[in-house]
Amino acid sequence: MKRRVVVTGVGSVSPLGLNATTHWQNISAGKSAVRPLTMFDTTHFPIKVIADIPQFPFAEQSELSRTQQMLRIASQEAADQAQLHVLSEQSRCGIYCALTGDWPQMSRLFQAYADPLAWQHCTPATLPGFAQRQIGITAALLGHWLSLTSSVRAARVLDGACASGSETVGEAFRQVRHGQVDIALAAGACCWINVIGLIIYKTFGTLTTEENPAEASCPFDIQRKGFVMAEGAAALVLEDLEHALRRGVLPLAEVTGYGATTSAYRATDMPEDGVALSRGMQLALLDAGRRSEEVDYINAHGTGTRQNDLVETLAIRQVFGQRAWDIPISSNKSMTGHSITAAGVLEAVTTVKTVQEDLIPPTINLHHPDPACDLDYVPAHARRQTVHVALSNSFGFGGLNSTVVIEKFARTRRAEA
Amino acid sequence: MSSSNERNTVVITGLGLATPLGLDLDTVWSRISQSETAIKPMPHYLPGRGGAMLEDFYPEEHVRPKRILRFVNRATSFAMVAARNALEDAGVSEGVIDPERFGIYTGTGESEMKPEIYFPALEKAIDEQGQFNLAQFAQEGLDQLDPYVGLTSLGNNALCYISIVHKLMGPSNNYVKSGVASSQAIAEAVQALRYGLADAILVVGNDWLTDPWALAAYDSIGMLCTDCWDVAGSMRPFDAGRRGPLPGEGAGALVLETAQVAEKRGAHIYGQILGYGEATDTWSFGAPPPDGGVLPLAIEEALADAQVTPEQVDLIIAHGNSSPGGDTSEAQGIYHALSGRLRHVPITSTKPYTGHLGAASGTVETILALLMQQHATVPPILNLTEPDVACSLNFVMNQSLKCAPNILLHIARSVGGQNAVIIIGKDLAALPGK
Repeated sequence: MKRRVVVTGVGSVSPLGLNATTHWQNISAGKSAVRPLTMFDTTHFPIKVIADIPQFPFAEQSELSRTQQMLRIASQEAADQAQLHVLSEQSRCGIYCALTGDWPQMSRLFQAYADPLAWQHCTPATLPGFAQRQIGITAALLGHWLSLTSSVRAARVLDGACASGSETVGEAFRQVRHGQVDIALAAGACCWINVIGLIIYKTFGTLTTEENPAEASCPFDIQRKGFVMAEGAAALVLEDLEHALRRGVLPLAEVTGYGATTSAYRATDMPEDGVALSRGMQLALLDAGRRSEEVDYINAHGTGTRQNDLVETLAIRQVFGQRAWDIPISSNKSMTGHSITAAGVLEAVTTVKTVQEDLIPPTINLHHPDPACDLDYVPAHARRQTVHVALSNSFGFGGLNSTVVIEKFARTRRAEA
Repeated sequence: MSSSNERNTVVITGLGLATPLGLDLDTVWSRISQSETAIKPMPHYLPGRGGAMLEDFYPEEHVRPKRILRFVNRATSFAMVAARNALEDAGVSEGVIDPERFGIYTGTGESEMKPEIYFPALEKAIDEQGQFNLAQFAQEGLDQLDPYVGLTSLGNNALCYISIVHKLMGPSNNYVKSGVASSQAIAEAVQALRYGLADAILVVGNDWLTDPWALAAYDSIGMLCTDCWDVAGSMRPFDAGRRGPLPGEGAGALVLETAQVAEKRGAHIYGQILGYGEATDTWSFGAPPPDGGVLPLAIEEALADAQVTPEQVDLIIAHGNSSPGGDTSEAQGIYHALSGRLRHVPITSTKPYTGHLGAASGTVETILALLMQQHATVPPILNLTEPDVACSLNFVMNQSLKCAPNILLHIARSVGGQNAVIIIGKDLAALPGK
């Protein structure tokens, strides 16, 4: 017997707000978080715009990195909403994080360059310094930061590049569904807005070189030039429905399916036939016991690279046939930029709000749609519409494709059509 | 808990290694049988330091097709060798398993880019005062950068290129940077196969702890033994004279399949992954709980998941990383997890032979466990001569133990307090549920 898995808490630190409520208000209002890159003189630097979080109360003196601080705050918000502090010790809890190694700091690189043997004389650093680097143990630390009273079973960290966020949500969902844990925190974070992080993504040819922040992130528009690098964190608490009801915690939405495939094509390219992506969506629907006719909304990966726009559009057509033109599809990244390993979780948070509020966030900056991208991308303004069943897509470098199915919660599950 | 009849049985059909002891199963086993360790002094580093490296390993001789050489890092090249060996061993050349039903789960450790990659660009960025100048870096340095620096430093570099070369298009996931990473990859692969998400999954663990930047990180918390007077004899798990682990490097790969698929194609079956369990001491970062913390809980979870009673366990492959606090903690945890007769279950650890393989430990040690079953021989814990009084268990010491263990329990632990336990079974017919 499969368990039903509900969302009982959400949290986020996004370029559009320091908590999930503000993030949702701004994203449904169609606001852009993209700003000029001002951390250093960009006269000769190829990247001019970013979506950072200048208002984030970063504690410079803290032992935690910026990524860890954001992860902690977003997770705390989700944990508070789900009332994890009153969890019984009998509850089996899991922690799943999407993270990636921080690129080396410029200062550290320079030090290494100046003295290649520096490592041999490295002064003893601290455990926290070690933890910032060994991201695999961050999931365990997160349990400590949240003071989880319940005993933590799995504590795992995934790095599947831009798809990791969705994979983390999907894996946490599966663990709860099959009874490995009763309650799971699925969180993601990423802060790569620094010289090296930007340079790396420049070498991939995926970052926009647009200088005007207002128009820089324009997925599905003929003038798009790539994505805008963002930072942030997000978290969801997923829980066995019976467990949530016993605790008296209100379900916000239900996760019903997850599908994952591997492209096995090229590291940073998608196969142009769209099949690896459409197969992921189909597997997720099959897993959820939903037919394509029942899907009311798709939260697109929608990075704003030409390839993603075309292949994702094609894959949606393959899955939905003639109905593809009737399904609203939107790209949150048109407003928030792309926060890599955090993006999938952040978009799952947005999708939970979408099914709760029956309000579909828009794709902004879509002024001149690419003729090859002719679906309904909900341009410019949010749309009031009932959403029972939504898909959230994420596709990552390395060829990972994943889709999560998120539904409006109803005590009796809507009959499968 | 699901009962066995609604989930698939998961069997192991292919093994592949790329370890400091060798690149093929026979060489590795024969060296272990002769009590040979791969740990040596590391001449490029300061005296007193040891580790286990793949000697004379040149990626250009091993990575195929050659055109991907410039896109893969050293740790990935180990993984590619292990993956190819495992797939060959399982007899699943391309097309034998439907590519869309063939997944890949990896546990990857060190794979980040190395600072050296940036040196040519940094050289151009030094201004007249000898200082780093960002404008100059952007203007002149960027052109000097290897255009593939981003690819080689992708966290899922190994997963990416193995899936491409071997056409693995099923579900995939990459667990990172901890001593439990590839045990977690095995666990999730088992989960996916049990519930029919794939027919077969390649699980690969790889790490590169002998890399200078990894050493620096572990040194910074004083974890490694850095002043070994006898390098080869320094890694001595559970011994009173232990002083910390020595790093290793390498990879291990397993082909897992549902029993149905493997039996149908007449595959050689090494054994089963019967179950797994995880538990985490979130409070114990850097200081293993002296009483073993939640290790007993992880063992309990694994036994329950495997539907195996504690009495059925024949052998324990311990994490045994030779650290003063870690070994005591582990021994206490095992002691508390098992009662009565079970405290006499033989325990061994393979880390003194291979060095600490980090994220690769789960897959490599599972393979070594299967070799022990196959050869009905359990190698002793090398260098263990005087067990710590706080670690009173039935360690296999001095000489190998002749026995054919049917059910084995493998333990992996991390600095962060994560415990991952895998239960491996041998004889399909003799196991419960069959």
